[in-house]
Amino acid sequence: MTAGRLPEWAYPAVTLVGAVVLWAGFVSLFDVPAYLLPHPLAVGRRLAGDPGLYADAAVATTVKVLVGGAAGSLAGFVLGVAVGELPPLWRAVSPYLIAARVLPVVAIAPLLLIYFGTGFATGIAFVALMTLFPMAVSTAAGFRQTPEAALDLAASVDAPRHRVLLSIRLPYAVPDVVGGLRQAATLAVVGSVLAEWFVADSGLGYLILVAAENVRPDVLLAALSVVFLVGFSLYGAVGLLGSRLRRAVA
Amino acid sequence: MSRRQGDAVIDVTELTVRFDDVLALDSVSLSVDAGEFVTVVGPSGCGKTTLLRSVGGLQSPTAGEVRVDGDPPESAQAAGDLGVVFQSHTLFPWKTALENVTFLRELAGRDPDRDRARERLVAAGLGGAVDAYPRELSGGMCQRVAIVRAMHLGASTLLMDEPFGELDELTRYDMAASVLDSWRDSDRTVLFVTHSVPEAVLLGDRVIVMADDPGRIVDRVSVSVPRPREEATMDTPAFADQVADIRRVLRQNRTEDTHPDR
Ligand SMILES: Nc1ncnc2c1ncn2[C@@H]1O[C@H](COP(=O)(O)OP(=O)(O)OP(=O)(O)O)[C@@H](O)[C@H]1O
Ligand SMILES: [Mg+2]
Repeated sequence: MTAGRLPEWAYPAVTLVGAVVLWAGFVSLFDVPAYLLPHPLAVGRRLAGDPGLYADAAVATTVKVLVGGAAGSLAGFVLGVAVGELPPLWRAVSPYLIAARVLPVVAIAPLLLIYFGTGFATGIAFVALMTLFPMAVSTAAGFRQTPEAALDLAASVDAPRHRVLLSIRLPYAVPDVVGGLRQAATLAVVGSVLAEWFVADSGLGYLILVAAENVRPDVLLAALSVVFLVGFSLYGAVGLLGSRLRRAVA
Repeated sequence: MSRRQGDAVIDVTELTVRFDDVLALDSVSLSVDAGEFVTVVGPSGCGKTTLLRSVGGLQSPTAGEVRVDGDPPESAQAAGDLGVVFQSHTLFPWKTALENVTFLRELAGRDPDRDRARERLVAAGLGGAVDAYPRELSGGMCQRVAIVRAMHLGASTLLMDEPFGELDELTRYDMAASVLDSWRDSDRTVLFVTHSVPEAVLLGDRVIVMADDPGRIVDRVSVSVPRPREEATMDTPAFADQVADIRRVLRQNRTEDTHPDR
């Protein structure tokens, strides 16, 4: 390490510590009542006092994120490849793919409840739907990134279509696909928590809901900090995977 | 495939290509014999690339016909018998120079022949760049890799679209010399597009002179400068005369608002 330079992780760590210190200072200085904003130490005590509760909730949420996110991303990727490969299909569905971003997926939630009931499947379906569209749009955009000249080169030797798809178009699409995955990672966490609000069976979202109903900001903030941790880890993991993929084709 | 000297390898008959309101090629006819080196000069936008792409089967004609070895260009594509060098180098950024060179053969369904590819890169002065990625190479080096790639395909017809566009003056000459060498040692047929009149004369058996608006052929010049042609050839009066003649034709056909390069 060069003298005087902090490691990369230290910068956000400083921000985090700073924010917590500010929060603590603010609460102590102005004597903010705990039912409005508890002291960070109180939140910490909450977490430490019942780690099992938060761990179970985190697992429930993470499972929804991973299963729903993987299913949605995969389906979105396949859809994106299909519309990227078949221009008429792209013309036929792209207005709706883009419109689907405007339509809040939350609006579909009641329908999901009817179809899948108030259980695990609804949460998964919701998270999958949240991630599917951005992933499909990004992937399709990526498959349109191939330079015309690269396709000409392949055509000049009558290269088989699957070779063109796998060895040329896919690598050129990687940056966009990675971008889609990043969006999907964030949306999957948002989607899980939302699903836990309207399905109300388990997870961090459910915990937040119950805490709010009982006016327990300490529990709420404890659950929220775990959501943050889950989201942050996932985003980091996807980022790592993404930069590996990008480096492979850069 | 055995071809005799004198057979037409490329046959373009009354080829017209129209893009919306632009007549890129207006009834162009051209025949290139086996083993012939034909160069095409003309101002920017006169349809040189369009002509080359049409011969390569990458641009479908609005009217007229293109034949390569007597068949539509698609047959030559399928036979891996068309080596194309594009105006931009089109190397794949995730492949090394060597991998780029072998990749085209793989796309054509041939054995990549890495050893021979390496030899070719070394012979082209790219020995130090064999395992480098395109981003580590200069634009000119990338273009040289692309030329080596087309050579390595082993096609008997080469279509080259300003392959030396990004090269500096000296490297330009070196590359021209090496293209000439490998052309002489094989029985390849070459259709070569350039902006540079001296380059067209140095390389070509014939120079096709084009004009724009609409894109058309305005002259066909048989180059009388004897081969082998070398750097010093460009200083001879015979060479200078032919260059001057072609420049005169270009100037006469220049439209008011456009200027031919060089
Ligand atoms: N795909 C396309 N769509 C619309 N117009 C095109 C297309 N390709 C070429 N043109 C037009 O056709 C004309 C001929 O283009 P072309 O690229 O063949 O010229 P060129 O002689 O190769 O020019 P340069 O020397 O600049 O490379 C130009 O007016 C160009 O704008
Ligand atoms: Mg051109």
